[in-house]
Amino acid sequence: MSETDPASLVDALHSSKSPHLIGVRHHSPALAAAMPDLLAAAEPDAVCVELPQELGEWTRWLAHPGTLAPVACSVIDATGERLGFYPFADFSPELAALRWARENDVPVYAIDLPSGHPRGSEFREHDPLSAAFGRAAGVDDTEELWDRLVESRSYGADPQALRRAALAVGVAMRGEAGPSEADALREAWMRKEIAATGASRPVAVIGSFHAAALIGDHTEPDLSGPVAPVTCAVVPYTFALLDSRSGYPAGIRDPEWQQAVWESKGEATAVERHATRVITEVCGKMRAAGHAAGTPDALAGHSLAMGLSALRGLTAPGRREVIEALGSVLGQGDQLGRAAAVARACEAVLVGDRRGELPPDAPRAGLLSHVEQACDELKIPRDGRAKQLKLAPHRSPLDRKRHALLTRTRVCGVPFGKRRELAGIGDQDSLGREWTVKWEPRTAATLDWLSTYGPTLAHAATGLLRQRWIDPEATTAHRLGFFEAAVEADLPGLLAEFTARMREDVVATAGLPELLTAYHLLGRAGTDPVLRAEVAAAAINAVGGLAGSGEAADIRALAELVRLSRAEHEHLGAERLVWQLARLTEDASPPTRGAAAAALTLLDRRPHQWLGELAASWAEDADGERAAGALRGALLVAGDLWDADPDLWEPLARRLESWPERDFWPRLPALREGFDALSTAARERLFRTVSGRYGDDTALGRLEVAPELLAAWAAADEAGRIAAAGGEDTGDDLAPESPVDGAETVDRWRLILGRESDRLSASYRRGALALDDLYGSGHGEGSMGIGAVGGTSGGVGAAEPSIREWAEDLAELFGSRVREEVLARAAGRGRLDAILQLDPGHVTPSVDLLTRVLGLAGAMPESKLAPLRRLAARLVEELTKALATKMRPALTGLTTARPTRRHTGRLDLARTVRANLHTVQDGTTLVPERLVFRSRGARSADWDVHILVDVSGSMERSTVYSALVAAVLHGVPALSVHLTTFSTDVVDLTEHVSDPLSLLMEVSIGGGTDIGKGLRYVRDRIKVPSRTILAVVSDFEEGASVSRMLEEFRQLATGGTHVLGLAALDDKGEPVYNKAIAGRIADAGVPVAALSPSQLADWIAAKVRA
Amino acid sequence: MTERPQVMPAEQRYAAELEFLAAYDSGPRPPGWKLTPAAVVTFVLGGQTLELPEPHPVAPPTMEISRKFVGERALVERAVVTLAGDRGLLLVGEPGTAKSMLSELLSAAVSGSSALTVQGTAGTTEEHFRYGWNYGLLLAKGPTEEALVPSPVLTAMRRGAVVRVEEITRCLPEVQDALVSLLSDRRMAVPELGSNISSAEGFTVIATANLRDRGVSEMSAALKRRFNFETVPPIGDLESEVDLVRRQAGAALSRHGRDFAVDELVLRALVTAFRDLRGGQAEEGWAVERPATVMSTAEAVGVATSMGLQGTYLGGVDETALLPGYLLGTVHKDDPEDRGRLLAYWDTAVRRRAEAEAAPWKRLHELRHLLEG
Repeated sequence: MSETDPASLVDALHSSKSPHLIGVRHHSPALAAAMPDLLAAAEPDAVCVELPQELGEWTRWLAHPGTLAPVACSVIDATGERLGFYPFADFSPELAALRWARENDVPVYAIDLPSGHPRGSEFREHDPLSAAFGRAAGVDDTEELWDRLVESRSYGADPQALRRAALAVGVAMRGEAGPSEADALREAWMRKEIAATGASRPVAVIGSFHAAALIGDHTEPDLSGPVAPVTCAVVPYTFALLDSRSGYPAGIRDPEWQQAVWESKGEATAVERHATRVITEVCGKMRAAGHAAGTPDALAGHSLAMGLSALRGLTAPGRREVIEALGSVLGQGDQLGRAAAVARACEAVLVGDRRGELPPDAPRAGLLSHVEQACDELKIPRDGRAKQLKLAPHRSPLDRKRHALLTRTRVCGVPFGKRRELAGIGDQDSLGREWTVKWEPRTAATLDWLSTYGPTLAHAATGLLRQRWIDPEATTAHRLGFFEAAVEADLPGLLAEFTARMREDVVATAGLPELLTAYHLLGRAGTDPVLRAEVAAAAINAVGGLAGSGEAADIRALAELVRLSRAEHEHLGAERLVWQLARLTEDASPPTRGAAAAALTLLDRRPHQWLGELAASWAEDADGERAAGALRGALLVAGDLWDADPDLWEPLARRLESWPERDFWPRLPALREGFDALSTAARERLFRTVSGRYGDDTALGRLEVAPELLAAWAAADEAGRIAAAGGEDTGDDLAPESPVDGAETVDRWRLILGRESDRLSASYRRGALALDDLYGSGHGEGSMGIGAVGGTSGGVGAAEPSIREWAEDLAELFGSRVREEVLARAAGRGRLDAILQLDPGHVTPSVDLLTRVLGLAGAMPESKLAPLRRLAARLVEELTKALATKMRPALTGLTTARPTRRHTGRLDLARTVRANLHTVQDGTTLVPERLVFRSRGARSADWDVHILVDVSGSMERSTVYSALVAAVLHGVPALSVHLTTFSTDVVDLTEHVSDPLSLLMEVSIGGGTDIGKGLRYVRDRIKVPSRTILAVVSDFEEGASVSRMLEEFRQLATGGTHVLGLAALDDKGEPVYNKAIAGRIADAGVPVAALSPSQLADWIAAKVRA
Repeated sequence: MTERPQVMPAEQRYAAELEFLAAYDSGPRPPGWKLTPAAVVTFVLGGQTLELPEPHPVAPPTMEISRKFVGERALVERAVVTLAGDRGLLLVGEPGTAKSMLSELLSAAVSGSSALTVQGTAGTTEEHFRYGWNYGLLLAKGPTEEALVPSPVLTAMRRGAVVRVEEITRCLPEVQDALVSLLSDRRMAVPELGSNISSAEGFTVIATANLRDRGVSEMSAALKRRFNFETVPPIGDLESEVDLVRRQAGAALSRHGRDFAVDELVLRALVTAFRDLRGGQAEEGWAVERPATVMSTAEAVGVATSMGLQGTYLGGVDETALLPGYLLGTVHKDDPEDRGRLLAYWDTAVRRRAEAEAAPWKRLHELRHLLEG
């Protein structure tokens, strides 16, 4: 056969009479439309189609007049593995052949290898024609080749010429190599079957790749083999699943378009009309989505499509021409915004939503019976009563199968089992699973309806999960949920697909906690270590976005990441992590700085001594918040190390020893706060270690001795020492001259660690009581029981001090500034009345304090609200004044016009004349070579400034600053300010802008994050985009659809609005944000930055003046 | 006129090919065009040898059309069909993707001249799009036809030729909008002379825009709807890009009268590194962090040329050792984090390739210290 030249082979195929050959592609509108003519011309007495033998009796259902395409045939074996899947639509040539045969009473034979044959399942869904295209032409897009060579030249063509072209394509693709072993077997079977029909004029409707095998002589391989029983089903199908992008096999692109081509029955003008209609409909859908796309755009699209088809030598525009034309005309080069909308509109119009139907008397589909059978096998009750099942999937294979089945039904939305979450200890997943199952009539009905998605539950679950993952509205959190469902439901094929898509769909937009979840899930799934490493790398990358965070959750995520890095990926990514951490130690909020330093120590990049010194230097910091924050961060990450290694606590101990009273007391609350990050048992351990250094006798506490006696003893000791050393003062290095002796140091440690308060000396006990009141018995391990704190009073002694007394105690012990700090902390921990002790007249205004005060506003009862308001009012007033002073220099002079060379149309005559005086020659003529104009001075309230604030997290400094900045900007005549807050709801607070206190009181914190919604709201309110400034204050952890948010940003940016994303708006400039998403926003054309209010004022002023 | 210009315009460099193609395809031409659309596509893509169907008095019987634009055929087809229609053509894409070259080739092929060009900058004024005045003559003789200094757009309108607007988004929005009425009415009013100049058949506009840059103003929606947008992607295929870099760097060096002598392996490594960093994915499929700078093909050509020049004039250099320094210079432009990203690339993809013993990656991995600077 290889010696025959292709042209004569094609001739031979074309003229063969027995069998008469019609080579097809499984979905081909041209051939399907021409099929009745071809068959009528051939006058066959048998029609043979390329379907497995077992489907022979089902062909009458396919051709039944009551059957509406699209429908599909599926073949599964006894274990539920899919052996074959054959979708049919009106434009499938085989279906056209079957229908013709039925109308003309010609018998139909299914001649392909039975699916139950041992070799029958190989390469079944893989269309050999496509594979051959791929091999021979080196092109991925095999459908396009057939489209160009057969489909687009078919309009108005003679059916026989079409048949010849199809056969020629098959010959070309078969090429030199010939069929694979599996295909050769199938072809041999087909030859045998055609001969066995005994017909004199058989017609074979087969894939044109196989046509050459059906004529001429061939060696016959051994076809014997036991044929296993299979189950077949015909189910209704949908165009959405028929589209080849759905992930279901044997699909074709844009079924609705193919349907329309089939309906035009080969007339070029009908196809052109349909192309015009498609273009118009897509424009309509764009308008519905809020994009401008009118009749001129449709006209331009039409002319581009027609021009392209003329240039390419086609008689009518094909699918490709239409799509390219729509992309060029409507897309506006904008990948994120309009082009995505165009793609969606095209999909809706070209894929369509047609659904097939079977005649009422057709046999029912197999999904329901399959599930019933499976339930019976696995002993899951179906008797209509509720039953509880406790499963242990890790121990018993039967339980694992049951769990998989129930998870699959849950995923498919079948009302059968309800799962109860069993919480595990700590971070571990629970090992057991508890289900409540109840089989209802609804269950059977839903399963029936779901048969479209697959013949078995596994296929249905796979198909549904896949659809949901592909949906562009799905968020990262959803997708991780689908991944987990795929793990639980035991769907390895789907897991492989999800793993392949994980990169672009999840890793690209996830924040650090989600990346860690993904990492653990990938570990559970046990697939693809390379991807796991990439996820780890992305997590390391996301660390940079934690710079401004103070939340314990973020610090713990960082600690988890460090733990993983040590355990598993010591070489990969560790350098990068270290680099990030090194930067964080310099430039981040105190908790993050502490955490980063501790992390570096854990990764063995810095010696423990370094961390110890650093901790000691934090302790010396006069600003209590900073000290406390840094210590907390470090201890949350590396707390377990502290009692093990003296290098860590010795520097701090030395400082404690060296401080006189007046240095120690003000720092005590901050240190106590910092060490409170350790659990009670950890503090106990640390205390034991530390106190051991000072010897046992210190446990007795100090003796109460008269000071004069103490002085005399000390002098005597000193004289003795000098005498013993031979008159020299050697000066011991190891025990530095400390004003504090060992016993007092231990007391100080008792205070800092909150242990053994009953052993404290009297002067310290007051302090201990004051702080214990705040910190109680601690948290975490050991907080219930080890060593009661606060003495053994048990009824003796004073009752708990009232808050006022406590506040006075604090002022006496620690000084008034520290008292404020402690009171604020107490309020943060729930002692709400503490904050009322602050005197508005003397409080130091700080944004942190204001943040805390406002955070309490919601928790206060009405009666207590008034003093809080006074306090907050005072703070707001002071802070606004300070802010205004900083911002004013940037905002002055916005309304005056300045000279410029740009043509604004208003000539500044004086300056122009002066600039061109050198051209005056004869005294009267001046040549205006260089013109000077006046820039547009802003009229009052000419510019709109919109501030959009994300309030889904806690009351952030950025939120407070936004309100204050809005108040300051409100005072500038050139600007009119609007402030809107959003979480999942959008609240417009513009009327409160002038009074920042009431604005902040109105803000309600909490909820999810839907940035797209907030942007949409603001976009509707923008009057003149080129004179509008929009500042979005958010951490960009989008909780709804990321693509929608990006689209909104893009629309705003292209509309001419000046948009700025602010990851933080405070004077420290430490942002907390999702780096991946922020990167994508920046790519969309919106800059993302962390600015201080004066920098923001500078930016606004620059925009207004320009 | 200079003796030997540094860069010759396309219509001069390829004059022979254009003449041949005019004789080759005698099909119908859109009004005002010098070649048929199919011939324009052939000219732009090149890579074929053609024979004249019948002898022509001037043109040679066969000619090889050289490869010029490396990219998708469908893109060029769409561009050509757009030019024959009512809308303008706007080529967008990242810097260094040969948009300007494509617009030059298209205008040379369609109207025989690529000289009618307006370069868009922030200082571009309406005069560059409409007309200006010779102020001396204006003041001396009053507003006359003589005193009018037509812009390239007005010249193209009168002649029925293609006008190119480079970097249109750099112009200020109010200046860009001067094009809106030109593209819809195809008419320019000169009130001082009291006349209306209509455009001749064949007038069309090709604009280029660079979307990812600072100092770019957005186009108004009205202007966008007068253009068909075509995104020119970076070269999709490693081999084509290596080929292109070699060719263009070779051409640049031949102007110095030298041969291009950079080692093939080093050249491949250079292009591979550029592609990996541009796309965020290594050739083998590993993920790579993308730096904020655009790693364009033009930049790769520049680096290859520099390496060639360094080898030529300074002699005796180890090209592999040059590569990290050049890469750092290319990458580390704005964002200090980019150096970290390049280091990360070295630690992941380059290290893996070094482990697989691929030359020159092994040596490159050893030269990591050059990046830490």
